Amino acid sequence: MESFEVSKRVEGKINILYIKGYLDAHTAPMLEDEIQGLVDNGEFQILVNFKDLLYISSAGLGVFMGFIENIRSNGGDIKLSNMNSKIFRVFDLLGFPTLYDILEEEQEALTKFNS
Amino acid sequence: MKLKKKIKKIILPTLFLLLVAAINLFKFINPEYLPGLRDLLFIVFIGAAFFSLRDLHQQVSIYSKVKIAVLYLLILYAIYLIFMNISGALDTSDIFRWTAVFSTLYVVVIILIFTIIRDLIFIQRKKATLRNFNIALILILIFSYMMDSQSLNINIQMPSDDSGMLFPSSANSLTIIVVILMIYMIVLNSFRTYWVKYLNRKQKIKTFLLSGIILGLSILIMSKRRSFTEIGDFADANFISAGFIFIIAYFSISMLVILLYLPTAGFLDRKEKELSSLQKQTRSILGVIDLEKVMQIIIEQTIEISSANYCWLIVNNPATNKYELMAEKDLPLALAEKFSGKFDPDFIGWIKKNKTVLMIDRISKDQRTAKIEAWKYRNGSLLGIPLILNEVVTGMLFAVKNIEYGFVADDKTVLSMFANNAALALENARLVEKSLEQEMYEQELKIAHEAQMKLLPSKMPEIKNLEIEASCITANEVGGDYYDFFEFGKSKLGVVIGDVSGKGAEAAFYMAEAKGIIESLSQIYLSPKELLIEANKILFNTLDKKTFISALYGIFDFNNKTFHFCRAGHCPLLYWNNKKEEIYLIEPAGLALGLDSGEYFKKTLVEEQIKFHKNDVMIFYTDGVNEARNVEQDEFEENRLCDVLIENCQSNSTAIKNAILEKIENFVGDQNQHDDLTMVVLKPT
Repeated sequence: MESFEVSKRVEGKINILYIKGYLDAHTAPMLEDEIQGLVDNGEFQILVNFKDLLYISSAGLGVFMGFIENIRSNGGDIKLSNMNSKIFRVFDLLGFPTLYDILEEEQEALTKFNS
Repeated sequence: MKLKKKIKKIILPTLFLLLVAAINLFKFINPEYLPGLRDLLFIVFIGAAFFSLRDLHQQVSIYSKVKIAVLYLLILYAIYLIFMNISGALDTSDIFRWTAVFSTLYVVVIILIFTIIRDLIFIQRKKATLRNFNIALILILIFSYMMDSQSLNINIQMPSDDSGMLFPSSANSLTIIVVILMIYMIVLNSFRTYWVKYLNRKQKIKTFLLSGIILGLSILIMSKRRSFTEIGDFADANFISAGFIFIIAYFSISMLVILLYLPTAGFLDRKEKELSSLQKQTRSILGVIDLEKVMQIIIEQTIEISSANYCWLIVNNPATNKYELMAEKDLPLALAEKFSGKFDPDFIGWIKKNKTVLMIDRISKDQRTAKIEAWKYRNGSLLGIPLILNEVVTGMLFAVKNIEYGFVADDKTVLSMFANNAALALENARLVEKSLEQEMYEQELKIAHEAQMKLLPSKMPEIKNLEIEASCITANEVGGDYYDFFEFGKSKLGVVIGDVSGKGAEAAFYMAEAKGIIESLSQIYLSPKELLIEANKILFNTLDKKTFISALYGIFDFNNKTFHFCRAGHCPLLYWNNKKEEIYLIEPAGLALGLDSGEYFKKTLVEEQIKFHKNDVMIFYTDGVNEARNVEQDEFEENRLCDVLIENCQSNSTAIKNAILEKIENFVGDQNQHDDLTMVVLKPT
């Protein structure tokens, strides 16, 4: 089975999640647990860095959808950054860029959070 | 090999017995010829004969051994009677020779009886048993030799006196020591009568009587024996005397021991019967595969074995690592209720920790049980037996009696033995149940798969001037892909392909739901855009937050030769324009269904229109096609898809579909299909 890892970095009020490997139906619960943990702690400013992600399936995309409503109603957001073109293509096809901030670089996203 | 066995079993014993006889008979032909050496050889060969014959009766049962001993003595007695009969008619020198013949027969029979005594002594043998027996035997042989040589030195024809011949007047201290030692060893060996307890009550009584016969015959023969010892005190006569002493000593003590065992014999028999029936029963549970039944049998048998007032079985639930009440009989309700909560009393903890039987004689006094109020009678006793499998306490069996000191050590042993089988039976039943569940689960998935396949159109619509071909290959038994067609009279055809996010059963249910919604909306909204906007509204509210559906919906209008379609987050439309001979991936903007409540969806969705021509090809597909992966984890991608289409654009729709599937199959190789793979090929003609 393909592997998946999440690591976390905190920058001010923003929690940055670095996701790595394959995000699919089997590994999605790991990311879900991670985000759930942040939400439970009242952390609603979440940036997900896709730099090392190799693959995402529809179940992986679903993770963000599961939280976005709650996080936005709490004044926060999930922003996504550093996607490779293949992964961006998946998001783009489904129309995610209309609904989510998807940024080229982590820094851009941080700036956007703080503005 | 066979010959060796034969030599050992038949030839050697016969040879030794013949030698014994030859030497003994020779003595009477020429008594003065080297008497010391002759007697030495005589006893050595007796020893050898015994040694070679020692396993003669090994295969025979204990009771039969005693019977055979009796038979031998009867033969001996018969020989004696014959001897007595003929001796009267013989003159002295003839008696002399006949005596030799008969004493030889006596010696042989005594050797045979010795082998039986040896067998009996060796039952439940210990390290010292063999040694003690051999010492006794050697002492008997030494005794036979010594007494003889001495008496020979004094007088060959020793006058008999009434005190027999055990202590000749000339006996020196060495002889006395040998005699005392011999008697001591004979008595010591005679106390080895463990065989008695292996007899049942009936056999004990019979054996007691048989031993009596042995004693009677031995004493009878011994007392009359003088008739041929009168003639001479030779090694054979001494051996016969010592032999009878041993036989008499051994069987008198055996009789005593049987007498002691007799009162308890009935009880022991019953116990043994119980045990053997228990073994049969417990073995029979191993054949039962129904878990409930196994547990019920365990309970019933526990009650039966221990005569407990009530009994229950708790089994470890691997999921919670708690012991749960699984079966009971007459368990007081108050106590049973305890098991539904988080009840972990001390006595359960104790068994779990010690992995051994817990016997509590007084429930009210033992600190492990005294705190619990739920016992029906507080003055009771408890027996708790762990069911152990691979060193793990998988369950516990409890039996309670409403009296104190109700259980005895025997209950402990018997129930522990029973528990071993019970643990195994439980595990067997559990495994069988698990595999049955697995099978049922697989069967249900198969049914689900068939049900889902029925949601797809069973055959392609027959439309003039349009070839239609479709394929849906699911990665698991059930999946989230689907396609559908809607005919609006003869001039219009609606085509939809959809892909529910996620996998398996959840995706399959949403697929069924989406199919129903789109099918009903298709009759109301003739514009793809309007239809999808409505579908999104409904699905946004019904789908799980995490779930979305991508779809491509299009309508052919054969009157105008137009095809207009919308893409709700789905893969692009693959379009071969036969007139221009160009290939397109058309991807109008649009969000997947269920992502947004409606505002953005409506704003974003774009309807595209194509004027189609004869021999154009439109292909609807799901991401299972372009994301099909090979062993290097490369994806099939749209460019390969385009290549196949270009190569096959002039073929009919079936051939195009097959070409694409074949290409994907070759690309993927042995890799597992990880996503559903669906496509619809449309070709206007």
